Amino acid sequence: MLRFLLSLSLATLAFACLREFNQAPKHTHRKRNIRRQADFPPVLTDQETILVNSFDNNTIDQWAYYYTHENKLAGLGRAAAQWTADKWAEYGFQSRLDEYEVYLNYPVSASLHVTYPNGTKQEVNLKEDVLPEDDVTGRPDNQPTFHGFSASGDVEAEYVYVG
Amino acid sequence: MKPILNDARRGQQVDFERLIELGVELEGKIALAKYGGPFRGLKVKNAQDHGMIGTVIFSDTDGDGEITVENGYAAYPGLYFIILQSHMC
Repeated sequence: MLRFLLSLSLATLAFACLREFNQAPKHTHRKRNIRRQADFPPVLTDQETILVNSFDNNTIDQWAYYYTHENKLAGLGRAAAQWTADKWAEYGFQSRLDEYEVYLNYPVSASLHVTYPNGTKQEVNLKEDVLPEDDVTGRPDNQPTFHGFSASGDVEAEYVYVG
Repeated sequence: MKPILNDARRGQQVDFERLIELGVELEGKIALAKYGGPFRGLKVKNAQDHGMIGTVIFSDTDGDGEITVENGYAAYPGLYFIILQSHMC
């Protein structure tokens, strides 16, 4: 029923950090505070006051900008880890970076082609478009799409949609 | 008409069982699976367990949920918003 041929070429040396959708709600012991919704202005405890005064929209904006512009692939991005440790230290927490030997691989190359019934072959684009509005697109250190720990190799076959 | 595969599941064991029940040959083929739902590694494992030789996982636009142009949201890159989601890598 599906006569297109897909060829997959994968060479991996990695561990992807891709988002999972449809996650179950997180387990939490925090109770919703119904009373507080009724009180305005809210009366904060000492700890809550510290928390609220430690952040502002500007800081959150700057930090979000920083993190989204750093390489965060497992095993890479030491600079961002150090930056985070320094931030903790700045706010009075003891912090350090620990190193671990781990088993992970990174891709060397990956490609996907589709062959139509009439024999024409087309390469499927696996990279996001480079957009002037989004400066993290098209960076030279962006990683290709890959599945961590997958075997290297070339396969060509009909495909079946499995849901 | 009953859909061939339940769209809420994505590359789960039951999907492969359903395909076998329908007489779809899996051996030696490449699995095409939607991203999301069960852990991506299990989609690959399920395909491998049924003799399939490769898996392509793709993000479908249904992952946008309610955040669609139809619902009045501008398409990327017209709108920036941050999704805060804690997840294990």
